[in-house]
This record gives sequence, structure tokens and C-alpha cells, in this order.
Amino acid sequence: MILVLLAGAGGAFMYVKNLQANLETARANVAKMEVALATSEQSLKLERAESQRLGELNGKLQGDLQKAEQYGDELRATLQKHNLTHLANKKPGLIEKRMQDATNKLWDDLESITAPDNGMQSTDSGTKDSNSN
Amino acid sequence: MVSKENYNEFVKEFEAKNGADAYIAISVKDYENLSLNFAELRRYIEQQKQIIVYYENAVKPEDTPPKEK
Repeated sequence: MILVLLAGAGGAFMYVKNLQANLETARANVAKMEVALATSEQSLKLERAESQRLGELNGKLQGDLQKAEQYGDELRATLQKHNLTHLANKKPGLIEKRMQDATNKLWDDLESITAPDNGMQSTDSGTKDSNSN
Repeated sequence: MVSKENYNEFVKEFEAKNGADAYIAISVKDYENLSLNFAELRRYIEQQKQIIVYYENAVKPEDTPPKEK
């Protein structure tokens, strides 16, 4: 009888020991998963912020690309609106001055938008060698 | 800009200035095409610039956000 009781007590002790070991393992796993979750959440947060930033940049780019078409659209509208041949026959001096002014403005604009300090890459980059081969 | 009205005047002025009566003329239609082509060139340059600026901003490293406590 005593032996049976001792064996039962020993079994119960081992069972509790095993449960405690499993609990420790589970706690360690939970801690690791919490760290992994925090890392994932941080990554997700950064990804969302980056996605939003790129979305804003993309929206700005689309607006700028459309704005660049404005000059051509205006020119097409002007040419459609006026009969240049008729105007040239009627008032050649006036039309010549306007055309010259518009041409001068176009050269100035082209010079301005291709200037190195106007959003373009620095000319310092690249090779100094003038040989094109 | 030369039309029937000022053609003779143009020839006189041109010869006085350049000493010859040979010149290159462009029709109104061709002038319109030329101006439209320049507008396209300008649009292309401006759009390429905007795309370069976009990529420069897109790949620019951001400041590291402060760590949450």
C-alpha cells in the first residue's frame, strides 16, 4: 500500500515537473513571438509610411507631367484659333514682332530648363576625359 | 514675316544687309509645325526633368524615425 502511494506521489511529482518545463518553454516561445510581432508591426508601419510617401510623390509627378503639356496645348489652341496666313497678309509687321517675341521667350525657356543648376544633375559627375571613344 | 505687301521692301532690306538675294523661306504651315515640334521638345525635356526629380526623391534616404518606447 505504501509502495503504491509512494509511486503515485512520484508520478504526480514528475507530471508537475514536466508541466512546469512545458510552461517555461511556452513562456519563452510567447516572448519570442511578441518580439517577432513587434518587429513585423514596425516593418508594416514603415512600409505603409513609405507607400504613402511614394503615392504623394507619384501624385506630384503626374501633376508636373501634366503641367509640362500646358505650353503645347496653349500653342495648339492659339494656332487653331487664328489663321496665321490671313493675319500675316493683313498685319505682317505686328505678326512678325509677336512671332519674334514668342521665339525669344522659347529660347529663354529652353535655356532656363536645361540650366545645370535647375534641378538637373551636376555637370561635375562623370569623366573629365573629353575623348568620346 | 513677308507677304505681298512688304515683299519689295523685304528684298531691298535683305539685299542691303546681306548683299545677295538668296534666302531660305518657310511656309506658314511649316512654321506652325516647327513651333509645335519645339513645344514637344520642351515638353519632353520638362517631363524628363520631373521624372529625374521624382526618382531622386524616391530613393532619397529618410531620417530614421525615433524608436517607440
